[in-house]
Amino acid sequence: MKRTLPNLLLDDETGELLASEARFVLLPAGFFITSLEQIGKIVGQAAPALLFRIGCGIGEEYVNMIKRAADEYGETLDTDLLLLEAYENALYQSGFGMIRLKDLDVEKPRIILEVANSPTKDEKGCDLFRGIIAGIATEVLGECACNEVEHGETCVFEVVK
Amino acid sequence: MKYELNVKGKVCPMPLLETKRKLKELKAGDVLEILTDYEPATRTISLLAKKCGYGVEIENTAYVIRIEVK
Repeated sequence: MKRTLPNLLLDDETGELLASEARFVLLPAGFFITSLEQIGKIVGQAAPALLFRIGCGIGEEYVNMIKRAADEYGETLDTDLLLLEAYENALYQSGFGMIRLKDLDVEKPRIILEVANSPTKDEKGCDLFRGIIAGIATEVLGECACNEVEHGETCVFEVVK
Repeated sequence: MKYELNVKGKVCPMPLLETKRKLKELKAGDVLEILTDYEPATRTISLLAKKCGYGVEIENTAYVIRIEVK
C-alpha cells in the first residue's frame, strides 16, 4: 500500500476535486457496481450492449483527458505512448486494478491487455470494462473491437480493428 | 553533464510530458535522472527513452530513472 494521487486537491470554495488539473469524483467501488447492477435490472438483455457503449465513452474521455493535458503543456504523444499512458496509468490511478499491456502492435492493430483486480471482474462478460478498453483504442486508432479472451482473477482482453 | 528532473507528487501524464520536454534540451553524453514516486511512470518514460534510442536504468527502490543520451 502507498499513498496515491498525491496532488489531489479539493477546492473548498467550489467543492471540486482535482488531480493534475482534471476533475475527479471519488466513489466507493460499491456505488459503481450497484449502478451496473441497476442498469442490468432495468434494461435486461440490452444491458451488455449498453454497458459496452458507456464504457466506450469513458475510454474515449480518458484519452481526451491525456491529450488535453499534453496539449496544454505544449507536447504531443506518439500513439504507443498515448495507449500506454491511458491503459497502464490513467486506468490504474483511477483504481481499475493492475493493468499490463502485454502486446501492442499499432500497425495491425492488435493490443493484448492483462487486467487483475478490476472492480468489475465479477461482472459477467466485463462489458463495461471491455467498452472502456475498446473506447481508448478507438479514440487513438479508429474504430476497434475488444474481446475478453480469458476471464478469472486476471482477465485478458484483445483489441483488434 | 548530469541533469535532474523531480516529478515526485505528479501523476499521469505529467511525468512523461515533463521528461519529454527536458530530453529536448539534452546533448549527446548527457544524463537525465528523473525522480518519481509514481511507479507507472517508470514504464512510460522507459518506452519514451527507448523510442529515442537512449539507454535507460531504473533504481526500483526510489524510482530513479536514468537516461543516457547517445
